[in-house]
Amino acid sequence: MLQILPSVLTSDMIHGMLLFGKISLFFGLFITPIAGFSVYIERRLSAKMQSRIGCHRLGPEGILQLVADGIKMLCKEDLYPRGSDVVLFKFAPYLVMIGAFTSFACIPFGDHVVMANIDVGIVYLLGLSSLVVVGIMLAGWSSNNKWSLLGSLRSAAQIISYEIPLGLTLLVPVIITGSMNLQAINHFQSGGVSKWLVFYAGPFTIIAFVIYFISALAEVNRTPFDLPEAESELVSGFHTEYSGMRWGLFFVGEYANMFLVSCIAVTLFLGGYQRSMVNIAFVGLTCFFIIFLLLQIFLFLPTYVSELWKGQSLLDVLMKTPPQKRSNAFKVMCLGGAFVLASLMYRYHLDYHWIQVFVFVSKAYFLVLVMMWLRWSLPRYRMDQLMDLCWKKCIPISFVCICGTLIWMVVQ
Amino acid sequence: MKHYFLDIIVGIKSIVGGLWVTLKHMFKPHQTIEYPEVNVAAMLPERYRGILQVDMDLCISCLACERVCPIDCIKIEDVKGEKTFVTSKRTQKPTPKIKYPLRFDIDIAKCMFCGLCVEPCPTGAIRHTRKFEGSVTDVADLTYRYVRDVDVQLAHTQKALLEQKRRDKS
Repeated sequence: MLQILPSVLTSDMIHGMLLFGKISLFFGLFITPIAGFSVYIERRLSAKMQSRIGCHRLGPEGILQLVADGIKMLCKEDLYPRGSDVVLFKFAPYLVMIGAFTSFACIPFGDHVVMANIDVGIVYLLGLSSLVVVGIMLAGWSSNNKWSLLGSLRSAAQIISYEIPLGLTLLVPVIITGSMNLQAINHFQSGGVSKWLVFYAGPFTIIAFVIYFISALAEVNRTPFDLPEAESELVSGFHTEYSGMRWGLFFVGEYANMFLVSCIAVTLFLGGYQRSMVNIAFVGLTCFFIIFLLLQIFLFLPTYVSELWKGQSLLDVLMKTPPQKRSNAFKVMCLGGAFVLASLMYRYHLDYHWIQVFVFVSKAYFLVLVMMWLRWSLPRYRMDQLMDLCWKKCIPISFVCICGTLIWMVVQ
Repeated sequence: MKHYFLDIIVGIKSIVGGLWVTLKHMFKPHQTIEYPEVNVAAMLPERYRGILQVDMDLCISCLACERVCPIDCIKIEDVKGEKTFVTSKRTQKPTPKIKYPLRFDIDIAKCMFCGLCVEPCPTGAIRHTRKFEGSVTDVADLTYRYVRDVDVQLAHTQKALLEQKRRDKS
């Protein structure tokens, strides 16, 4: 293939282009769909928790809703308010996106599925995740809107405060493994659940994990810590003035960020993609959703084909076909099949890269689900409660965790 | 110091309690009624006050409903005719009918479904249905006209009959 390319391209350039292509493919085909899919999952999950149904109209189980949302956002007018700082206003969503997406570069999804296996992985992650705050602050400031400004100020105060317990709890795995390389931390945890870093130093690492999770929630501005975009008091805060795809970018950035902090939690505390029995539960759950969706799509196909045959347009068929309910027996059978599949995956072929990626993603996605679960269960914190939780609870306890882990390691 | 730890314990307890509530709801059936597919009209209570309906065969054009209507959305025009009897739905007794409606309009757009017109009707001609879907593209279409061609014909024949009788008398 290299011969047919013009000779002006050196092999370095070609490799660079290939790498660029790979990275673009990774973001385009993996992270963005996961972010879009999270929106759909969150809508269905929140509906379940509130005894509603959620979006289930467009396509089988409403799966095409995310496509419709995307098209809607692309078609909307790109507005900017009068008196706003237009350049900053237009640039801010990109910063949020960059902060969320580039951090994925050093997340190890598998033995060889990592874009940049760098030795200062954790420092890199902490640095890039702070870029999100810059984006949010720019958005709030340039909107020329008091609610946006208040939202971004809150966001700045919150994220800067919670960066401290976050950094301190990230130190715990670093102390234990003696490395900041995420791949090395991951390999340290190979060999079953007992080797996971959450269970390494008894209660101390468990508490460290919990504090990491709390501060990660605060870092990605999710409810209970969604003060920057408080819908009820600040009219959705820093993205009040945004419309169309720029607002969509904020959203994608937020969901990508959620997935990112879950990935970090899985890598540092929950054993990453390493082989363990508990993985069957996570993988089984993911398999259940996938199998259920695929079966729904498959079972819907005859209806769609017959309706299309009658001469209806595709959009009409997708929108007007009434949703079908499946019995509990059907769901239980799906669940059983999913767990059988997961156990087979555990039993055989575990060294395949794609299975490692699958295990990793399903674990991380479980944490994303927990975040959604928390969001629809808990009310929002007040500003003083937020600061109280951070400075009086999380930071001292994380110091205790670090010291406890050190003592534990010395005693052992 | 005791307060500090108590605070944390209470916080964890309440968070777990909240999560448990939402988790329980995950496995409960949903409460949503998917309206266009489900026949909601059948689920409505028996005495639901929906869009008004008038049985023109029973109406004796007594104007009781028009008079009682607080927002004057009922319009009735009638002519006098030969006396006949209709069986009242209420009392099951024959009720004399001397006036015949040429026009019986109810502006559903104005109607507030108070049910005051149903109560004084001596024959039970006007009543609420369980129908509640009244969306139209033109607001004029919401003026429901209950008089049929048959009723107009009947009114004219009864009027002619009455005039004939008077002429015969004189």
